[in-house]
Amino acid sequence: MTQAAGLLARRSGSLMALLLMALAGAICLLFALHIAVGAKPLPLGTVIEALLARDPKAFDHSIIWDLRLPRALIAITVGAALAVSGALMQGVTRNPLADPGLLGLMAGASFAVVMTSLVFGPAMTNWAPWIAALGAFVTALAVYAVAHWTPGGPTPLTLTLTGAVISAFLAALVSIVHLLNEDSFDNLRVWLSGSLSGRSLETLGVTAPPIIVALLLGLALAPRVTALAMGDDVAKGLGIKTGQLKLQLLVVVVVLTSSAVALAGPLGFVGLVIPHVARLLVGSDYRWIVPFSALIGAAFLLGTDTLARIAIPPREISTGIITAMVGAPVFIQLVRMRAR
Amino acid sequence: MRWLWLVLLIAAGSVAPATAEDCAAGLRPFSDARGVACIPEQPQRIVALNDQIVALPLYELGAPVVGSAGRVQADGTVYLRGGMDTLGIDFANTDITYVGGFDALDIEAIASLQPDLIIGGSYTDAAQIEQLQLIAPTIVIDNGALGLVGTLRALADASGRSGDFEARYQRYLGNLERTKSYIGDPSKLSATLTFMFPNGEDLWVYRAGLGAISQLLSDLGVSQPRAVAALPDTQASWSPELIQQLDADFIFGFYRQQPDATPQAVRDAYEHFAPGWCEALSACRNGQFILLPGPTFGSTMTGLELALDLVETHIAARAYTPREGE
Repeated sequence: MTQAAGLLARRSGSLMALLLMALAGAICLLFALHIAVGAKPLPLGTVIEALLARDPKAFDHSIIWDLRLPRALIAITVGAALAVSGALMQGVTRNPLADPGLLGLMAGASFAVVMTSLVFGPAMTNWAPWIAALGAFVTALAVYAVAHWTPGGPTPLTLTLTGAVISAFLAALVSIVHLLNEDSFDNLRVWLSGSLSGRSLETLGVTAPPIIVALLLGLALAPRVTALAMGDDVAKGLGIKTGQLKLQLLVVVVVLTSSAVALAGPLGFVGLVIPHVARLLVGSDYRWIVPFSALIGAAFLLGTDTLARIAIPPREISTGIITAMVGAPVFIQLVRMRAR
Repeated sequence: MRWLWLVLLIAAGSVAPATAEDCAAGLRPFSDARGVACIPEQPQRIVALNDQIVALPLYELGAPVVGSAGRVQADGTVYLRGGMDTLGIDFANTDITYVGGFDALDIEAIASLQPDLIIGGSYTDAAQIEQLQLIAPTIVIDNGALGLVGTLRALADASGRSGDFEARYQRYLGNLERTKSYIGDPSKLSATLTFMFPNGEDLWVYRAGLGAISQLLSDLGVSQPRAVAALPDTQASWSPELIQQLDADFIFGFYRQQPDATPQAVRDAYEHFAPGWCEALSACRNGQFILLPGPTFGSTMTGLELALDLVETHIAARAYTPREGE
C-alpha cells in the first residue's frame, strides 16, 4: 500500500484536533443547508418557524420535519459508517481499492432483499432494511469461511478474491431473479440504486445505536490498524495479536456496512473514496484516518444528498447515482495527486 | 467494384417497400415500425411478444393468439400481466402458450407453435426479430410512437379485425360525447395522473402515455396542472416536496389485484412518500383523490371503456368541489 505522507501529517496533534473541529463545523453548516434548501424553495423564516414552532397542518413544516430532517440525519450516519468501514477495510487488507463491498457485503445485502422479495412476495419490501443487514452479515461470514478453507487461510489476498467472486456470483443471481420476477424488482428499484428517500426516523432509531458503537470501536482499534497496515510481521513485532484484531475489525466493518445498507441501500463510492481523501490530508496514521473519514464521509453524503434533491426538480435523483457521479472523478483526481 | 454495386442493389431491394404484387398468395403488405412486410391476410396463429401491450388487445378483439410473452411469479407460475384484472384470462384458462418474458423470449417455444404471424414492439430485441422472421412474418408495432388508439388500430389491422375494432371504437367515441355533455366544459376541469409503488419510495407523474386513462383524459380535453403540462417527457418521478404542484380538481392513482397493492396499501404508500399528502392537496381533502383499478392504465379497449365509466361516475355523476384557489 502506498504510504502517502499526507498534507498535514507532520503537523501537531492539536492542529489535527482543530481541523476535526472545523470539519464538525462544516457538517453543521451542511446540515443547516440540507434542511434549508430542497426541491421546494422555502423562505428562511418558514424554515426557522417550522423548527421552533411546528404547525402539524402546514405542509411546509412537514417538509422540514418529515422529509429533510430525517434525510439529513441519515446522511450523516450512513456517510460516517461507510467511510469508516472503507478506511478499516483498506487498512486491514492493505488494499487501496478495498471498500465495504469488498467482502461481498453490498452484494449480500442486495441479494437477501431481492430473494426474500421473490420467495415471500413484495410484502417483504417493508422489511428490506433488516433483511439487508442479515444478508450482509451472512455473506461476510461466507466470504470469511471460504477464505479460511483456502491454502494460507484468510489473508488480505484470499479475502479480497473470495469477496470479489462471491459478489459477482450474487450479482448474477440478482440478475436471474430480475429476469424471473419483474414485479418484485419494480418495488426495489429505488432501494437498490442507493437512496435516502422515504427513510424514517424510526429506522434510524434502530440502526443508529449499533453504528455508534461500531464507530467507537473503530476509533479504539484505529491505532493498531496503523501497525497492521504496515504488515502482519510489523504488527506482531509490536505485540499485536493480528488474528484477533482482524476478527474485531471484521465485526466492526460488517456492523457498520450492514447498518448503513439497511438505511440507504447499496450506496457506492463513499467507502472507497472518502478514506483516500482522509489519507491525503493526514497521512497513514489510522488514529486520524478513522475520525477524519467519519467526518468527511458525513459531510460528503450530506452534500451529495442535497444535490440529489435539488439538481433537476421536480425529480429527485437517487443519492447513490450522485455519489457515483461525484465520487468517480474525485477518485481519479486523488489517484493523479498521489501519483505526482 | 461491380460486385459491390450488386450487393448494394440486393440490399436496397431487400428493404424496399413491399406491394401487394410483391407478397405471395394469401399474404398482404403491412406497414410497421421497420418498413413494409408481407403478412397473412387472415392470420390463424399469432404469437404476441408482449402480454400487456399486444396479447390482451388482440385477445379482446377475438384474434387467434396461440402464444404470448408473460411474467413469472415467485412460485414459478407464469401469468399474463393484467390478464385476469382486465379480461379474466391467463395462460391457465386459455389456449395461449407462454413463450418467455418480453425481454427474454424463448425462440424455440415460439417456433414450436408454428405461428403464421409474430407481433412485437420497439422493446423487442432487433437481433431476435431477425431470428423470428425465419419462423414467421414478424412485425414491430411501436406503441410509444402510435399512442394507444394507433396501437390498437394497428393490432386490429394486422390481425384482420379492423371491423370489430372500429365498431367498438366508434361506440367509445359516442359514449365519450355523452360524458362530455354531462361534464359541461371539460377544459375547465383539471386532473393529475400519478403512479405509486406500494413501498412508497417513488412517485411517478404522467403528462401522457399511461395507457387507457391518459387516452381518456386527453380525449375528454381535461386540463393538467401547469407543472405537469410543462413536463418535457411523458412522465417524471416527482419530489415529495413538490406534491402541491400536482394539486388539481381530481388526482388519480391506481391499485392493482396484488396482495401488496390494495387500495389501502397504495393510500398508505402516498402518505409514507409525503407525510401530510392528503392535508396538503385540496383534491385529497375534498375526497377527489381517487384510486382506479389497474386495467384503467392498461392498453385495451376494455380498459378504455372502464376508465370512461369510472371517470364519468366520479366527475359527472356526483357533486365535486373545484380546486381551491382556482
